[in-house]
Parts: sequence; C-alpha cells; structure tokens
Amino acid sequence: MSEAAAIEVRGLVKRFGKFTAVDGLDFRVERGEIFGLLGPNGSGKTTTVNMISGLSAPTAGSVAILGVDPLRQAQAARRLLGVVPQETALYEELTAERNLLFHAELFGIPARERAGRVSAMLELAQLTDRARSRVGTFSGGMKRRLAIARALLHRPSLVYLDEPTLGVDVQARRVIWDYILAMKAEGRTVLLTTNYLEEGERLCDRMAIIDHGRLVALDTPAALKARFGSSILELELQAPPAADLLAAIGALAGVRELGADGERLRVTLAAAGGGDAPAAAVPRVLAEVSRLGGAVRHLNLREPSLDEVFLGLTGRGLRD
Amino acid sequence: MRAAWAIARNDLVQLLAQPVAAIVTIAVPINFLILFVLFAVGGGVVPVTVQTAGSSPATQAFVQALRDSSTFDVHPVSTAAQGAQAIAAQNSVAAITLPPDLGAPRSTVRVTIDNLNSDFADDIRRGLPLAVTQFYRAALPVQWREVDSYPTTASFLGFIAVSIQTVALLIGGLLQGGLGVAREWESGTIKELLLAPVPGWSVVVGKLLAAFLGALAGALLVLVALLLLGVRPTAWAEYAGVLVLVLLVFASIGVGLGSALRTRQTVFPLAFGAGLPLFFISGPFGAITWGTPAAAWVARIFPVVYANAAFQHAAYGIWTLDTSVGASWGILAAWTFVGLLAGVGLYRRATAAR
Ligand SMILES: Nc1ncnc2c1ncn2[C@@H]1O[C@H](COP(=O)(O)OP(=O)(O)OP(=O)(O)O)[C@@H](O)[C@H]1O
Ligand SMILES: [Mg+2]
Repeated sequence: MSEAAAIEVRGLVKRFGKFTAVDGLDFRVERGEIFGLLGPNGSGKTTTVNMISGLSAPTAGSVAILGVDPLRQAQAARRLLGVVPQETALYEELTAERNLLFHAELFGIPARERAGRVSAMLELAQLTDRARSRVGTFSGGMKRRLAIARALLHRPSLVYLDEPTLGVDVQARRVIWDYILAMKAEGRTVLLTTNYLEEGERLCDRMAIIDHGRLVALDTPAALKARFGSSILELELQAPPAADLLAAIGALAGVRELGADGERLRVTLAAAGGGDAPAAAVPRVLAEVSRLGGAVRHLNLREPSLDEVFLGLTGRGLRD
Repeated sequence: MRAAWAIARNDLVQLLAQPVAAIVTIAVPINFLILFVLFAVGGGVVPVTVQTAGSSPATQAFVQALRDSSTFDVHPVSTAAQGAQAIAAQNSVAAITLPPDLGAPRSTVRVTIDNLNSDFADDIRRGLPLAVTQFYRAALPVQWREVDSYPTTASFLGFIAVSIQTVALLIGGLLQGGLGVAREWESGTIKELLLAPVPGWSVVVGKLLAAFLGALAGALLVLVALLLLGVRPTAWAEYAGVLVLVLLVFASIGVGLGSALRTRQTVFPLAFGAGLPLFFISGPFGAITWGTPAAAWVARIFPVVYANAAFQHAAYGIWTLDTSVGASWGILAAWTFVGLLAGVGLYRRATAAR
C-alpha cells in the first residue's frame, strides 16, 4: 500500500438497537478529490460521517482518515479534519472574530499567528467589515461563510461539509460552491453530503449514492448518468411514420420505449451496456429513419438527470 | 490546560455578552436577602402606641420595660384618640394606656388590641404581661439569672443572613455550571468542542472554571451586601475555604446536570426546584435539630447544612451542628470529590462516541 487514502471505509455498520442505520458500507475517497455522499432523508449520511469524524463509534467495520483511526488517535484525526456542520454551530452571542479566535485557541495555533490567520479567514469569508458584529445578527449565507472559514482556519487536509447550501439563497450558493472548488484547488480533500443533485453534479469528482445505509452506486456524475439514466429523444417527422419504421426503431439496441403521436415520436433511450451513454443510440435511430425513407423536421434530445438516476436506483426521490 | 482556559474565557465573554444568566444567579440571593431583612425588621416587633399620664419615674420605667421586651415598637401619643386613630390607620396593633397611679396596688394598664389576626394579637397578649413582670422584677419572690453559652449574640438578621452566602453558591454554581454546558448543546457548538483536538477533561475543567468564576462574582457581591449589613466574619480563612469548596461542589454538579439535560429550559427548574428546598431544610434560620427529624435526616445527606454551619462558624464562632467541625469539613471535602466525579462522569457519558 503506497499512500493512505483520504478516507477509507470498510464494512462499516451502525446499529441503533435493532435498527441498522448503516449497513456494510465500503468506499475509498482519494486525496484531493471532492467526494459527494448522496441519499434521501434518513439514508444514513450523517451517521456515516459521524463515524468518519469520530463523534460516533462503528458497530462493526473500520474507518481511517489519512491512515489515522478517528477513535483511537482522536487528537491527530481532529487536526486533519475541518468540519462545517449543517447547523453551523457558531457562538451567536460572540463576534465573528471571537468565534475564529476561539477556534484558533482550541486548535493550538500559536499566539503570534492567531491574529494573522483570523484576519485572513475573515477576508476569505468577506466578513472583515463585520468582524466585530455578533454572529446572531448575520444572515444564513454569512453564517455559512463564517463556518467554512472557521473549518479552514487550522488548515485541515480533509474538509467535511454537511448540506453546505441547505437554506441558502441562489447567489450565496454559488459563492459557497466557489469556496469548495477553491479548497480542491489548494489540494484539500472535500467530503460533502447533499440533497441537491445539481450541487453534486457541479462539484463532485465522484459520488456515492446510499439508501437504507447501503451503497447503491459509486462513480463520477457523468458515468452514473450514463449507466443508470435515460435520455428522451423527441422527433418530428415530415409525415406520420409507417409501421415498419416504428418496428425497426423499437428493435434498436439502447431503445427502451417508443411512443408515436401523428408525426411525433418519443423515444426513451437507455444505456445499452458496455459503458455507452444513452445518447449513443441517437445516430442509430436517425440512420433507421433515413434508411426507411423518413425525414426529420425537428429534433430534441433531453439529457438524463441525476434525479432520474436516483429515482431509478432507489425507487424514490431525494427529498421527502 | 491551555484549552481549558480558552474554554473558560469564551464562556465568560458570553456571560458578559448575555448577562441574563448572571443576573438571575444574583437575583435569587439578593431577593432572599431583602426578604430576610424585611422579615427580621418587620416580623420581630409590633408597633404600638403608648399614652402616658405625665412622666413619673414609674411611667418611665414601664415604657422602658415595654421597649426592652423585644416585642414592641413604642410610639408615645398624648391622647386616647390618637391611639385609636393609629389602629384605624393600620399604623399600630395596640393602644396601651398607662394609668396615673401606675405602680400603686391594683393599678390597671388598659390595652386596646387590633385583633384582626391572631398573629399580632397574640404578640401583644404575650408581650404585655412580660413587660409587667419586668416592671415588677425587683419585687418578685422568684429571681432568674441568664448564663450565655456564647460570648456574643449574633443579631437574628446577621445570623440568618450568613446562609444567604450558601444560597448564592448553591444556585450560582448549579445555574452557571448547568447553563454553560446546556448552551453548547442547544447551539450545536458542542460539536466545535468535540471536534477540537483537546481532551474531554479539559472541556470539563474549562466549563467548571467559568462557572466557578461566574458564580464567584455573584457570591462576592453577596459578601459585600453582608458586610454592609454589619456581618463581620471572625475567621476569614475558614470563610474563604467553605466558599471555595461549596462552589466547587455545586459548579461540578451543575456541569453534570447540564450534560445530562442538555437544555437550559430544564436546567433552570431543576436548579431551583432541587436547590431551594434543600436550602430551606438545611438550617438557614437555626440548628436543623430544631426542625422535624425527617427533614434533618435528609439535610444531613447534602452538603448545604455543613456549608451553613461552617459559614455561621466562620462569622460568629458558633457551631450549630451535632456533627463535629472536623467531620463536617471531611463531608464537605468528600462532596467536592463526589461533585467533581459526577461532573466529569456525566459529561463523558454525554459525549462518549457511541
Ligand atoms: N442516535 C440515534 N438513535 C437511533 N436512531 C438513529 C440515531 N441517529 C440516527 N438514527 C436513525 O438512523 C437513520 C439514518 O439517520 P441519518 O441522520 O444518518 O440520516 P441522513 O441520511 O443524514 O438523513 P438527513 O438527510 O435527514 O440528514 C435514521 O432513520 C435515523 O432515525
Ligand atoms: Mg443528515
């Protein structure tokens, strides 16, 4: 084994009494990647991450972050980890500056470095002019930025964000995405849980989809869509198609479903296997149309969405 | 230790930023103090008017006897109408009229009693015969002699006021300790502490230190009030010793309470609900053996009774417990140990990775 993975999870199980919240998870997060944990409410994301950060002890299996056991070498593990909890966990009665200073003290940053780091983090969070304001007076977006700045203050190698954009407006969401991409650019590993597929797609190098505490799929967003998604090809022909044309298209590899309404055709495309994207069937459909004398007036291809991937894999949507 | 200090300082800054908890902590003992003062000043003596016919030596001696009886607050008046008026205006509880032949055989002192309620009426019924006895004391066939058990007598107010110091430590320690920890759970900031590379005990020490200093500020304020009331502790070292031990006990129990309950809403009623009854059965007004045996038995289990006794000892050199001074200190020390153990234990239980 050359280098320890950023996170290595093996046979992870967590039971609360008779209820199994996490059921034999295995995955590996490589250094420097942004890794997403996706799952519906109650699927075990937070439980998993609590075991990764050492807040909770596994019933079975093991966790290592950069080769360190988060329970047995807790102090070392906590230094490696920067956490942005879902509920931000800031001291509302204290100022932004005081919150950061306290974090610096807890993490043993030497006194002479503290002021410098704190002001750099205030700068990063764009809160320099609000440094002396009570956090209780901040908007949700400001609090989230401050919580992110705080997590980065001790320069962790691994940053974990729980639902980082939940309840944040669209503009603030883009700012937070930029922070997360910047973390990756600085060489940090990022683990994030999210309910938003768009977020996972935009940010994540790889995503693990979990349901009922089990790993359902793990891959890059593009590969997940290619493997489990379906595209819809809408065609409008010059004339209503003949029966032989419909039969020919329906028999093509990668075509899952076919509907006709006058000159309009609705073709549902699915991955044919061999790593093909659903859209790989488009040229084959068009070739059949021209071979059998049809002419296309209008064409529209709708790409698969991760929502569909999700629905297909788990049989339910992401949010209740 | 560095982390403990940072945690304590963080808590104290929050206490100053949001001083509600601090104010509540101090409000209770100060309230008690005011109540005790009213109780001692108003409840001790009853106002009466005395109408005299002239100022013969006998009259002066009788008025003096009334004043010395520890029952009456004497207001001289010149007419019977003024006496009746004072009763009507609720300014007096009885109108006493001294006859011109006071001291002669079968002379009669008339007293009109406001018998609205038996408490005040009985005070007069008991007090007046005592004043008469005192007036004729030299002529009585039976005499008595008082021997004091203690070199000095504390004023009633002074005596009970010392126990205010205990209630300040009891409520202050429980509340500051409990609220300081519960707040971390309520705001979710407990994660900030649990994910920091610091050992659990240093969090407890930090919380304890903050609760200790926060409640100490309140306790010192109470001490100043006591000094203003004229309480002058004779044994300062003992006073400081009890104060520190008792504060440690209750701040630690407070930290444990906060860890177990996790919400300020539950810490408040429990601190008051458990703390105040405990205080009242623990001899704030006199020796616990004067009360019911069951209450005394319960009181003996807890440290409050030893704290009250030790404060009274430090202030007046008197010992009101049948447990010896040495044993009481032993019990206080044992409670400090138990408190610390409970505080650390409950915090660890609450934060253990499970
Ligand atoms: N301490 C606990 N005791 C008992 N059951 C628990 C405990 N913590 C979590 N669970 C259960 O475990 C399951 C997984 O919860 P978890 O919080 O990990 O889900 P999640 O994926 O983070 O959901 P969400 O998207 O709602 O945050 C849930 O059914 C939850 O009720
Ligand atoms: Mg969750």
